[in-house]
Amino acid sequence: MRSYIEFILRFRWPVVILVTIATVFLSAKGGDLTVIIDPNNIVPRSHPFIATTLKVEEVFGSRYVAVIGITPKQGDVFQPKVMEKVLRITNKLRETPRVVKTNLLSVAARRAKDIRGTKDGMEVKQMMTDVPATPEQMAALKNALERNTAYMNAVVSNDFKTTVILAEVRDRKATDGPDVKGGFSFVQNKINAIVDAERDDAVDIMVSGYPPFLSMFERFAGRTPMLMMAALVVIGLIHWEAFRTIQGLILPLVTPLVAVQWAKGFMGLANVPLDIFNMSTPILILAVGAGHAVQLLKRYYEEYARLNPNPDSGIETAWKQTGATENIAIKVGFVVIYCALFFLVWLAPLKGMLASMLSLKDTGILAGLTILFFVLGYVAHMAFDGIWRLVRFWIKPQSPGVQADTKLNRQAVVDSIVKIGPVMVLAGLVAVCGFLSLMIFDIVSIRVFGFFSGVGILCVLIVEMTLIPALRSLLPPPGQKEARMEREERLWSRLTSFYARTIVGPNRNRIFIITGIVMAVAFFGMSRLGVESALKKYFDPNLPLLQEDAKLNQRMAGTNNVYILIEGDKPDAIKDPAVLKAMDELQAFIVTQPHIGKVMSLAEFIKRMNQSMNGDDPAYFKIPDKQATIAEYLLLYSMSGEPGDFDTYVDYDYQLANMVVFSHSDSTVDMLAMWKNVQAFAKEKFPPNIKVNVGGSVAQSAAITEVIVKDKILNVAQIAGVVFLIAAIVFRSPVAGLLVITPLLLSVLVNMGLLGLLGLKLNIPIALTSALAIGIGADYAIYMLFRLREEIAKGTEEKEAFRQVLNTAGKACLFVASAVAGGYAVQALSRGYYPHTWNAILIGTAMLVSVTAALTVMPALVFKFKPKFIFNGGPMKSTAPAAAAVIPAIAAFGIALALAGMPTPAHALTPLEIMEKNFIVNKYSDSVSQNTMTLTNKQGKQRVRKTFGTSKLQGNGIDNMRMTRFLEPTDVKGTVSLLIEHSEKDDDIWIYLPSTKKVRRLISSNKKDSFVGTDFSYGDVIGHKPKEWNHTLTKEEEVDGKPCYVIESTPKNDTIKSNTGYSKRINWIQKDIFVTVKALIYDESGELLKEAKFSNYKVADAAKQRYQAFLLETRNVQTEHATEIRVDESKSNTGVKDDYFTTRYMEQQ
Amino acid sequence: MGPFPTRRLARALCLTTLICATQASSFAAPAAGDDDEAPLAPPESGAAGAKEQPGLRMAMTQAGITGSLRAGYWTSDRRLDDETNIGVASAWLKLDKKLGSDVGLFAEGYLVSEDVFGDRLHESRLREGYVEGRKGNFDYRVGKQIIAWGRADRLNPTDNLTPRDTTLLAADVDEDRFGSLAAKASWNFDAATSLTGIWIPKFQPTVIAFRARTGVVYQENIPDSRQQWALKLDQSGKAVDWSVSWFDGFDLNGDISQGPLTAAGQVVTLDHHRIRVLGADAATTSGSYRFALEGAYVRTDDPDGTNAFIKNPFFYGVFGVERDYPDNFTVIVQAFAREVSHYSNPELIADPVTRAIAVQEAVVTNQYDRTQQGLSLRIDKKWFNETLEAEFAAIALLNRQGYLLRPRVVYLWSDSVKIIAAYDYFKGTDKTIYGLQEKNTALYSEVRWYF
Repeated sequence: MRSYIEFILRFRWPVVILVTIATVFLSAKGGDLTVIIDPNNIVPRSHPFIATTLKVEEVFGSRYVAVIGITPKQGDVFQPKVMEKVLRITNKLRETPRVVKTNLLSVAARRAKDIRGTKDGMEVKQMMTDVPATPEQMAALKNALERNTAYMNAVVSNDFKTTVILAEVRDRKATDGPDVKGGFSFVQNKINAIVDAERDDAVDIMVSGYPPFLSMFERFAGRTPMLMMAALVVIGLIHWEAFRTIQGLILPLVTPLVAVQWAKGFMGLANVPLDIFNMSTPILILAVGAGHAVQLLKRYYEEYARLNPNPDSGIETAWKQTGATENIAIKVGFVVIYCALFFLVWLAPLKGMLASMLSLKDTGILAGLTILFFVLGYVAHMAFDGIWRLVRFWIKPQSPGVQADTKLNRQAVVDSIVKIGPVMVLAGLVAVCGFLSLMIFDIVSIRVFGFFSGVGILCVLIVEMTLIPALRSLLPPPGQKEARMEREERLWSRLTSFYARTIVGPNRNRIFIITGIVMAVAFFGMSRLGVESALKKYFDPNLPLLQEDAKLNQRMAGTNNVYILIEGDKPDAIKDPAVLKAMDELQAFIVTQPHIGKVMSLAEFIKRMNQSMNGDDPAYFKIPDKQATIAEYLLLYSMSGEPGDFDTYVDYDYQLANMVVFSHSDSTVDMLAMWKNVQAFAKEKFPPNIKVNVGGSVAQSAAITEVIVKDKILNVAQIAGVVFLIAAIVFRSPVAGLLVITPLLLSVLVNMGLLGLLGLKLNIPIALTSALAIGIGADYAIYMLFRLREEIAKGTEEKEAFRQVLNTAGKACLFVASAVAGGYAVQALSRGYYPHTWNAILIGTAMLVSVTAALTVMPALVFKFKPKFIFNGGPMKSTAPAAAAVIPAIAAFGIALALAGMPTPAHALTPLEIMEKNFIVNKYSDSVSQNTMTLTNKQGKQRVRKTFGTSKLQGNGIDNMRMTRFLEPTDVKGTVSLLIEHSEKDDDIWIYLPSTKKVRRLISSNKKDSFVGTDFSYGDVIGHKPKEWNHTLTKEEEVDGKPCYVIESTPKNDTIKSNTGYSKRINWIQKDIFVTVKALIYDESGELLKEAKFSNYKVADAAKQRYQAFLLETRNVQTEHATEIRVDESKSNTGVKDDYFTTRYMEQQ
Repeated sequence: MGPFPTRRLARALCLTTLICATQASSFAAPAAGDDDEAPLAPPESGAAGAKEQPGLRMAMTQAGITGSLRAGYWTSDRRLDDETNIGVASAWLKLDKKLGSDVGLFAEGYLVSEDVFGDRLHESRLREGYVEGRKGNFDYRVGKQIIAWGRADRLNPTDNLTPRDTTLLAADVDEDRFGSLAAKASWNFDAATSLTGIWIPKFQPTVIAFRARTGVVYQENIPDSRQQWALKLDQSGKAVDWSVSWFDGFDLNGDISQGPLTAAGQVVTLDHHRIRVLGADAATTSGSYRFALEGAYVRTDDPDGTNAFIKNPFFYGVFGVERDYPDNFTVIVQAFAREVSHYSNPELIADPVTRAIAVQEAVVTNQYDRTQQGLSLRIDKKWFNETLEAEFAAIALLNRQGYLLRPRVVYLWSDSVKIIAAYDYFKGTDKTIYGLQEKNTALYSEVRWYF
C-alpha cells in the first residue's frame, strides 16, 4: 500500500488529469441518461401471474384500465348533457394513441351492444350512437342497459347515478415510435386534457385506474434530481459541522460526485436508462462515497497533527499572500455571472426540471430553486477563486518553510492512506458485493440497480484511492486555526467519549441489556409485519387522484382489474357448454368474494343471447346445453353485431377466454386471497382440459412482491454471508466475521421490527430500502475492528485503545452515518409520495442502529470476550493485496453478470437482415464525384451548391471518410468539410472556413442537424445503424414497377431517437438489390417530417454488388423545403488516396 | 492607406489579370486528366456550371475570379472619433486559380469607400496574394498571406503572426485580417502531423486607432528587420487536435511610450518591440461538447519589468467549452486569464505625464492589473436550412468593469445576396480596453452581392 500511494503522489498531476479526463468523458456519456419507467423491466417474467398477464395483454390487449366516471350533481345519468359528455369523451379516447380502441367501453362505445329478441330471432345494435333526444329515447336506453346486465355496475352504476368510460391503455412498445414519449404520462396527459374539457358545475368527473397512478409515479420519480441536490447540501452541512473547514465541506463531496458521474457514464455506455428503482442510486453513491472520504480526511488530519503538532506559519503566510477576491461587489458580480452561466449552459435540463417543479404548483420550491442557483453560483465562484489561488500558490517560488510543510503534508497523506486504505477497500468491497448480489433477482430493473450501485461504489473506491490522495497532496496542509477547529470537542466527541466510558467501565452490561430490550421489541414488531403491495398506498390519500379513486370505488364495481384467463387445449374449446357453464358459475362465485364488484365474461353475453332468442324469458338467462346452439347464437350475433365486440372476452379461435374482474382493492393480499378461493373452485368446476390462471395489474404487483420478498430474505442472508466470509478471511478469524455482521443483523432486525410497529407492510420499495441500508451499514464495524487491532498492536493500553478508537474512527463513523442519514432525510420533504418518506425513515434508522451497534455493542463484545485476532493479531499490511486481488475479480464478475442480465429487446431477424444488407449496399471502397445540390424553399426560391466530394471506406468495411469541397456559390466557395465516421464512438468532423483561415473541429453528436443546410441530416448521410433500430416488415409493394420490402424502423431507445431526431422511418427497399428507393421519416413527436426518393441507381462495385444513387430527393413536409442532390459525375473504386481525408488537404485553396 | 485607387492595388489587380490570362493558355488542360493521385480532381475553380452562365460571368468563372459588391450603413466608425452615420461601399475581388495539379495561385483584395457621400476616406488593400504548392510530404506557400493560429474561439493567445486592420468597417468577424509577406513551408510526417516553418521578411503592424487628444501627437515606428520567424508542430485529424509553437518576431500591437515634447505637443510613440512567444493549443470533442485550450507565454523586450513603456512578459490562457444543442444551436463559454510577470502598478509613477502614458500603455496592452480574468460567451443559432443565423457574442472582464457585446444577424436572401445586421457595444471603465473603445460602439448593416 505504501509503495502504491507513493506512486500516486509521485504522479499526482497525471492522476488528477487522468481522473478529470475520465470524468469529463464519462459525464458526456452519462449526460443524456433518460428516465424510462418500463413496467416490463420491473416484472419477474418467469412468475405464472406475469406469464398470464403478458398473454392477456398479447391476446386481449388488456393490462391497465383507466376509469373515467361521471356523476351528475342532480338526478341520474340519463340526461342529454351527461350522455353528450360520455359520447364526446368516448370518441376522443378512440383517437388517443395507446388507448386500445377495440376494448374501449362506455354507453357510447361501439362494442356496448343491446341484445334483444325479435320475432325474427336476435337483434344486436349499438347501445347509443347518438345522444337520445327525447325522454322516451332516454328511457329506452335505460331499459336496454337493464336488459343487458353485463353492463350494469360496469358502465352504469346500479343506482344509475354514475356512468363510466373504461379505457384500456397498453404500455409502450419498441415499435410505437411517436407514442412512447413520457411513458404513461404521455397517455394520461392526453386523457386528462379530454376529461378536463368536460368538467363543469353540473357534473362530478373522476379519473382513476392504473394509468393515472403510473403517470403520477413517473412525476414523483422526477423529483430525484432536486432531492439529490438537497442531499448534497445537507451532507455538505454535516461535513461542515464535522470538520469546520472549507476542505472538509468540499473534498468529501468531490469523490462521490465524480463517482456518480462515472457510474452514470457506465450506464450510458451500457445504454441502460434510469428507472424507478435506480433513480435514487446517485444519492446512495453520494452517501457512501462521502462516508469513505470522511474517514480518509479524518485520518489525514490525525496523521498531520501527529507529524506536525504546531503547523508552521510559512505555508499559511504563503497561502494568505495568494489573495482571494476581496471586493464584495466583485464577488456578487461573479456570483451573478456564474448563475447566468448555469442557466445558459444547462438550460435544457433546467427546463425539464422547472416543468416538473411547476407541475407541483409549489411556488415555494421555485423560490428554493432561485436560492439554490445563487448558492451554486457562490460555490462556483468560490471554486474558481480557490483554483486561481491554488494556481498562484503552486507557481510561487517556495520558501524553505513551505517546502518543509509540503513534505509533512505528503507524509501525512501517505501515512493516512497506508493505515486506512486497506480498511476502506475492504469496506467498499463488502458494499460492492452486497449490491452485486442483487443480480440474483428475477427483475431486470433490480439487476440493473444492483449493477449500477455496485459499479458506483467501485468507482468511489477507485476515485478515493487515486484522486483524493493526489488532490490532498496538492492542497496546502491545514494551518493552526484549521487544525484547531477540526480537533475542537463538540457533540460528536462527547458522544464517543460516553460510549468509550460505558464500554470499558462498570456499566458495560447495560449495553447488552438495552440491546436485548431493543431486540425483543423488534421481534415483537416483526411478528406484526405482513407482506403487501398496493400501488395506491404509496401515495397520500389526500391527493386529488386518490380521492377520485375512492369515490369511483364507492359508486362503481371497482377501479382495479384482475383477469382470469380460461385456456382450452384446442380451438372452439370455449364454445363447449360445460366450459361456459363453469365460467358462469365461477363468475357468480367471484362476485361473492370480498372487494369484488363485478365480473364480465363471454358467458353472460351467451346467456343474454339465449334469453333474447327465447322471447326475453328470464328462465332462459342461462347457458344453452348444446355447443351447436351456442355456435348458432354467435353466428346470428355476428350478422348484426361487429366482429370485434367480444375481443376483450374471447380470442379469435375460441380457445382462450378472459374474465374481467372489477375490484375495489388493489391490495395484493386481497387479490391472493381471492385467487386462492378461485383456484379451488375452478379445479372442481372446469373440465380437466381447461387451465385457469390469473393476471392483470394487481396480479402483477402480487408477483413482484412475492419475488422481491423471497429474494429479499435470500439477499439478506447472502449479504450477511458475504460480509462474514470476507471479514473472516481478512482477519483470519470467524469470530471477526460474526462481530462484523452483528451490527448489520441488528439493523435489519430493528428495521423489520419498526415496520411492524408502524403498521407498514413489506412491499417493493421498502424491500429495496432494506437492501440499501444493509449495503451501507457494514462499513462501520469494519473500520472499528481494524482501528482497534491497530491500536492494540501498537501496544496501547486496552482501555486507552478503546477510547482512542472511539474518538477517532468512531467519531468518523458518526459523521458518516449522520451524513448518510441526513442525505436520505431530505427525501422526507417529498410530500405526497410515501416511498421517499420510507427511505428517509428506514435509512435513517438503519444508520442509527448500525453505527450505534458498531460503536457500542460490537466493541463491548470485543472487550468482554477479548478475541485473539484483536489482542494477538499482527499488523494490517497483509490485507491490502488480498482485497486488491478480490475487488477486480468481483467487479469483473458483477459487470459480466449485469451485462448478461440487461434487457435485450427481441427483434425479428428477417427485417433486420434486410436493413443490414441495405446498410452496406452503398458502402463501396471509394468514390470521387461532382454534385449539384439544389435547395428549394416554400416559395420556390432556389439555391444551388456545387461540390466536389470524395469518400473512402475504412478498414472495418463500415465506416466511411468523406470530404466535401464547396465550389459554388461564391459565399461558401472554398469551404471544406471532412467527416470520419466511427461505428463505436462519435464521428470526427472538421470544417475549413476560408474566412477564418482555420480548420476547426466540430461537435459531431448531433446527427439530426442538417447536412450543410440541406434537408438531409448528418445521420442520413452517414446511414442509420440497423442494430440501433427495431425493424418490422409491414408489407411488400411495388415502387415504379420494382418489388420492394416496406420496413418500418423505430429507434430502440430515446437516446437514438433524440440523436437522430426520428421516431420512425419507413423504407421501401428494392428486393433484388436492397437499395432504398423511397422513405418516409417521422419526427420525434411522431409527425411526418420528410419524404425522400432515391433513383437512378448505378453499379458502384459489381463484384460486391454495391450501388450508388445518382439522384437523391428529399422534401421536408413541415417546412416545405426541398433538396435535390444530383451526382453530375462519379467514379468509384479507383483507388482514392488518403490525402484527401486530411486537414492538410482542407487548407489548400 | 492612400487615396482611392492606390497604386498598390492597381498593381496587384494587373498582376492577377496577367497571371489569369497566362494560365488560360499555359494550363488550359483540366487537372483531372493529369492527376494520377486523384481519379477525379475538383474542377477548375468555379468551372462547374460555367457553361450555363452569361459571357462575362463565364469568363470570370473560368479565370477563377469571384467577388462581391457591398453597401452598408454604420452609426459610427472604428477610429475612436466622433464620426457618425457613415455610408460604406466596397468591392472585394478574389482570384483562386489552380496552376497545375499541385500548384495554385490565390489573391484577394478590396476597394472601400468609408464615406460614399463625401470624400473623407477611401482605401484599398491586397489582403493576400500568394502561390502555394505541394510536393510529396512538403507544402509551401509564398507571398502575402494571412496566418491564423489558435484553436480557441476568437480569443487566440498564439495568434501573433499577421496583422488586422481594426479600423476597417468590415461586417464579418475575420475580414479585418490581412496578410504579411511571408514564406511558409510544412513537412507532413503523416496524415495528421506536420512541422511548419515560417519566415516573415517584412513586418506589418496591426492598424489601430488612437483617440485624438489635444496636445498629443502620435507617431508610429515600424521596425525594418527581416528577422521574424516561427515554428509549429501540429497534429490535426486524430482524437485530439493540438499544436506547440514558437514565434520570434515583432509585436503586432506595439507599445506606446513618451516621446519628446515638440511645438505640436507631446509626442507619443508607438513602437513594435520584439517578442518571443511559446504557445500551445488543443481541442477535442466528446458527445455534445467541444473542449479547447490555448495558452502562450510571451517574453518581451522588458523581461524584468523595469520599463513602463514596454510590455512585461506575460502568460495568456484560454479554456473553452462548446455545447452543441440540436437544431444548429451552439453555446460556447470560455474563460481566459492573463498573468503579468514582474508587475508594477503604473499609477505609482510619480511624474504625471509619464504616469498618464504608462497607464494608457498598461490599459491598451491589458497589463493594468497583475492578473486579468474574463469570460467570453457565444451563442449561435441557425434556422431555415442555415439561411438565417443569429449570433450573440460577449466578452467580459471579471476583475474590472469592461465588456463587449456583439449581437449579429445574417440572412442569406439568395445564393448571391446576403444581409448582415449587427451591433458592437463596448462598455467599461477607462482602465479597460473595452472602456477605451466605447466610441467604437456601432450599429451597422450591410448588403452583399456575390458574383
